[in-house]
Formats: sequence, C-alpha cells, structure tokens
Amino acid sequence: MLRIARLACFAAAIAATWVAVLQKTTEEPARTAVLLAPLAAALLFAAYLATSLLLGVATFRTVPEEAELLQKDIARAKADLAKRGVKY
Amino acid sequence: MVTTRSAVKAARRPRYSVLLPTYNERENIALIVWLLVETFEKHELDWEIVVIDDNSPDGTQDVVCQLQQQFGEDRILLRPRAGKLGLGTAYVHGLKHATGDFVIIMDADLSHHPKYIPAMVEKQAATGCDIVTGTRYRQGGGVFGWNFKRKLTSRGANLLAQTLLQPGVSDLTGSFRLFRKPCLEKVMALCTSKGYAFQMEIAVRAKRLGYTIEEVPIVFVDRIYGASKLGGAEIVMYLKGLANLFLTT
Repeated sequence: MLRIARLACFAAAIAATWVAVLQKTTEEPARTAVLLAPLAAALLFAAYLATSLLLGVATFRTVPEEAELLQKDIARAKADLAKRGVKY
Repeated sequence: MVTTRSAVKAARRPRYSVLLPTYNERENIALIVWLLVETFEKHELDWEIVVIDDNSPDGTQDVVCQLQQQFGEDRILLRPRAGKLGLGTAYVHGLKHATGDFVIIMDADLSHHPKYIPAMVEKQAATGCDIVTGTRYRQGGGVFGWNFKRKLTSRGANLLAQTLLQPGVSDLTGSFRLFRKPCLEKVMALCTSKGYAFQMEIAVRAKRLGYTIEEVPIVFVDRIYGASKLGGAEIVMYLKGLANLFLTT
C-alpha cells in the first residue's frame, strides 16, 4: 500500500473520531476544547519540528581537522603524481 | 583436484567498482584517483574505477588517460559520453561497464574522502546489508566549510524528507554510498528525480523494495576547488522531487 494511501486512511480515521467526539460533547468548555484540538495538535507538531531543526543545526558538527587532513593527503598525492610525471 | 565454478567464485575476493561521473574535474580527478588507489591497496581490496566523463572541455579525459598509464587500463576505466547528460544516466552508463560485485558512488571533487570506504566495506561484510550510506548527521559525522545558513538548509531539507517519507536512513541527500551491484541496477531503473532529490529517491526506493541499508559516519569537506551549487532552482527541484516521492512510494 502506498504511504500516502496509508496516511490518508489514518487521517480519515482521526477525522471521523474527532467528528464523533464533537457531536457527543455539548457542554461549553469541553466543546470548544474539542473544536480547537486539531489546531493545538498542529501547533504542537510545528513546535516539535522547529525544535528538531534548531537542535539538528546546533549539533551539526563542523570538523576543521578533516579539512587539514585532506590538505595533507592532497599534498602527498601531488608529490607522488609529480614523481610519476602525471600532468594536470 | 576438481575446482567447481562456485568454489572458484567463493575463493575470489569481492571487487569494488567506484563510479566517478565527471565534468571539468581536471584538477581533482588525479587526486581522487590517487587517494582511491592508496586506500584500496592499503586495505588489500580488489578494485576498479569507472570514470564517466561528459565530454569535459578542460582536458579531464587526458588526465584520466595518464592515470590509466600509471595504474592500469584494466583498473581505471574511462567510459565517456558525448555531453552533459545528467547524474542518473551517468550511473546507469557506469553500471554497464562496472565488473565489480559492489559499486561505490561518490563525488569526484574531494568532498568525499576515500578513507571512509574501508569502513563501508567492513559494515557491509559484518551485516550482509545491501547498501551502506555515509551519514553526516550521526555521531562521528559532520561537515567542514558550511555556514549556519547552509547547515540550516541541509537539516531542514532532511527533516522535511524524514517527516514525509520516514525512510529509516538519517542522511537522505548524501551521495557517498556503497551498493551491491544488482541492488543499484534494480533501483536505478525506477528513479526519475533530478538534483538532490535523486539521491533521496535511490534511498527511499531501495527501502521500499526491501533492501537493507546501514550507515557509517562521514565528514563532508565542502569543495575546495570551485563553488557549491545551491540556488533557488535547486531547492524547487528538490521540493518537487520530494512531493513526487511522497505521493508515489
């Protein structure tokens, strides 16, 4: 089954549940809460994504040592290639 | 003593074919080939390098010919094409000429260091997986030469793809990978994306086909010769590719 199809079924099930709960809830404070629940969920999810992103960037390692090692390797390669007479 | 074909095959070391699509890499190709040869010889791996050059005007092919003189025409295969025909078709073209049991794809501009190949080989041998992908995001991985904006774009793109596709691979747009040859051949036949989404498509399609993917950390050192391309057009192409994968896999 395609992923989008599975997600659509899941979304439909959630939507149906929400409508059912909405119809059962008639007293005021609870009704507004149920009505706003999807919006709250969306906001929470957005906050989670934003936090994930910022954490991901904060922990994204910059490794200057690797750049130095690469330069050394390049120097070795160039020296040997020169010895072999390879022109580039 | 009668040696059966399968016994001979089992006794032979696995061969690793590196596919190097090139366009105007006259300076880098000699260096990357030299480093690859050093790595393979040091670790006693059977190897070959397939250079797929898209008719570079800067003399890349001349340098490859010199390298063939140095390291052997049977080891360094030059299989050029008439013009710039794209990365996907370059892989397909290279695969046709590769004789290895495993295929390694990587950038030819020294942003992917050959020294990570032995770790990929070991990972594959230890787990028996179909694909090993280098990851910049896991413990031990990283980058050099990227500012905050570039890191944000990379992580953002990856996070979006993770959320929509849940592929079970931490680095979706990475292009430093080792494949069992039949696996890459089968997956390539299904791929249609361009740009960064192409690497993503390979990973996702492979997963959906049931291939197993393991990861090894790598450090990506941004291009030292020449400028990296990440413009608005690239981003749009990526989003289109992502949407396509989201809806069709």
